[in-house]
Amino acid sequence: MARLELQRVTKSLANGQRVLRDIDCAVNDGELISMVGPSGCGKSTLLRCIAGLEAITSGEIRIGEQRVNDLPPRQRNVAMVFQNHALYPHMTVYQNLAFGLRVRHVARAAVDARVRRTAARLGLDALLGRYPRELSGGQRQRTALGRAMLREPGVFLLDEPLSSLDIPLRAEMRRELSALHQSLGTTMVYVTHDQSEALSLGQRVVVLADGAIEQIDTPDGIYQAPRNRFVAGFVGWPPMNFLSEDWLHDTGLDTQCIEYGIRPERLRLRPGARGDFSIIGKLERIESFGGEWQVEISRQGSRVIARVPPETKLQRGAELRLWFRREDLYAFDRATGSRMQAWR
Amino acid sequence: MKASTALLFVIPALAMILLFVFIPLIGVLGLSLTDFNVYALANSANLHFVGVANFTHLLHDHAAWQGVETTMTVVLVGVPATLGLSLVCALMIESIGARWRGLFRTAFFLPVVCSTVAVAIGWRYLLNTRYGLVNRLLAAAHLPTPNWLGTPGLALLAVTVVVVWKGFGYGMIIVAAARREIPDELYDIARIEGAGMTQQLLRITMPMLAPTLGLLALLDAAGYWQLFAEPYVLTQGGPMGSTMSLLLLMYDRGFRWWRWGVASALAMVLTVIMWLFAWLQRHTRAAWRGD
Repeated sequence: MARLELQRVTKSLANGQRVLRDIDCAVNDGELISMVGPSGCGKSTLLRCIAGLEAITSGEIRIGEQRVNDLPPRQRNVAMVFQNHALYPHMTVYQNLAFGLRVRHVARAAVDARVRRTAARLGLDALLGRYPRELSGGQRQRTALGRAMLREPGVFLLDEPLSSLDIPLRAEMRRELSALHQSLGTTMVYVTHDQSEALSLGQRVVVLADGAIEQIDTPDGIYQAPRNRFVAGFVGWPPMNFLSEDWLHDTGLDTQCIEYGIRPERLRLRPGARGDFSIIGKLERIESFGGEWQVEISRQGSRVIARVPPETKLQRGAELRLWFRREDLYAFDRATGSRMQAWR
Repeated sequence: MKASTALLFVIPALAMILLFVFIPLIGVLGLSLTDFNVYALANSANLHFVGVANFTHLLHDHAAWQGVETTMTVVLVGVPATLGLSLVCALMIESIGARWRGLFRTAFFLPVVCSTVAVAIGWRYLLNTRYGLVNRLLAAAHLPTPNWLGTPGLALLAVTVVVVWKGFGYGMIIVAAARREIPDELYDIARIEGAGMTQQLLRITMPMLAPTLGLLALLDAAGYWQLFAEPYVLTQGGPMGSTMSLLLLMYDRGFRWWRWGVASALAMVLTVIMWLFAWLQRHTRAAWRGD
């Protein structure tokens, strides 16, 4: 178990492109932190840099109390799980689990005991003689997790471990992973491009874009108080609506320097208290999710999505008015993109 | 699709196979049971059915056994040497930068696409006792300058060297492709777990290349059993029959001594051996796929 600290970590490629810029982040001992960002934002690169698979250009990485910048991967006290599991296809589950211990020349009896203990914990005991190609997606992922656990690392690094699984299995594995983290109590860094996975799994969430950290906060903090327009738009599904001038010109709000956003679930079909704002547009689309509908209204080419309770009276093509409270609006400085805190 | 329509599509291919494989094969099988020779060409009254006499003759023919020994030597020495070179060069070109990769790949693959006869003639010059580059270099280093193609053991060695040099580039391309198929993450995990270069080679690269290497070994072995052009150009089977491969012996019996019956019997023996290889190949491939 160990604390992980990244101080002004920067990585530049040979062509001068900076793929990581001044990453400052501390992961507490035993914490599960998720890193999320659009593809190409550098999150996987950052994970590989922590593991020592790639070198950083400047800055410092500390694991435990040790500066690990110049240590090879095997001395960094980390274990990694990859998206495609990276199991050795020519080895059985047992051999895959035992691989790390065998290359470090642990005695055979000790290897056997530890492999069997971990396999039992992950429900793999009956599968030890199978090859990866004979396993289901979830079993493969559990094997990869088991291999990482047998390393008994200070820090677990997980690179999109669930994204190759189908959706029901993904939810199940997410719960398992969460439970595993609780029982192991190991520091974990979980990289994903799926913002809902990041929010539901991480105790804290790091939002990355273009090689730099946009925000670090708890899932609720990220969702309720995004630091800037990017985080606000990236986190949440459907994404936050950003309202152009056309929607707001009868509200009297300053749309010159400020851009406003509203979350889809904050829009309502009926007015609440006096003084609520409303927007009006043509109802373009209704998508039913059973207990909830997502409706889309448009006005001069700009679209707004709302999550509302099912309402049979809605008619496609008709005008629809949606209501919201002034304090549910998010305000962003048009020049810098940062959120104007004073607004709420 | 109806079976009759499907048949229409396969008939051209079947016709070619029938014309160029099965009919000649049956012809050779027929010939191998006769004493067909140059006299029979002139007068068919000289053609007799001899049963398996040609085969029993081969069993007692010293030259045939020497041919087996020569061919087996080339297979047993040449196949591991080819595989080793293919493997080493493949791993090398896959680990060097892209700038040099193309150059080395082309250089190593060039002998494969060159005409066997042309390169064999080139090697004959290189190995020439008095003027050849090989012996000049040896002489410059004050080493003995043997008569490469005129000494029994050395001639077979020279033939094997040329065969390996000509063939390893093909295997190299195949092994390099198989190496590229191994995901990088497998090596990432190994590095994190603490496996060094040697362990990565022995525990990941080699086992994952094993099916490819096994297939190449079979293909190379099957190819070397049909050794012909290299000894034909370099030594004509000499000295003292030491480089007379089975195929060269068949050619010698058929086209030099006009003993078609014996040559056909040899051809049948070789055909059976090739069938064995084809069967082995099918069998091992199925085993590797886990069927």
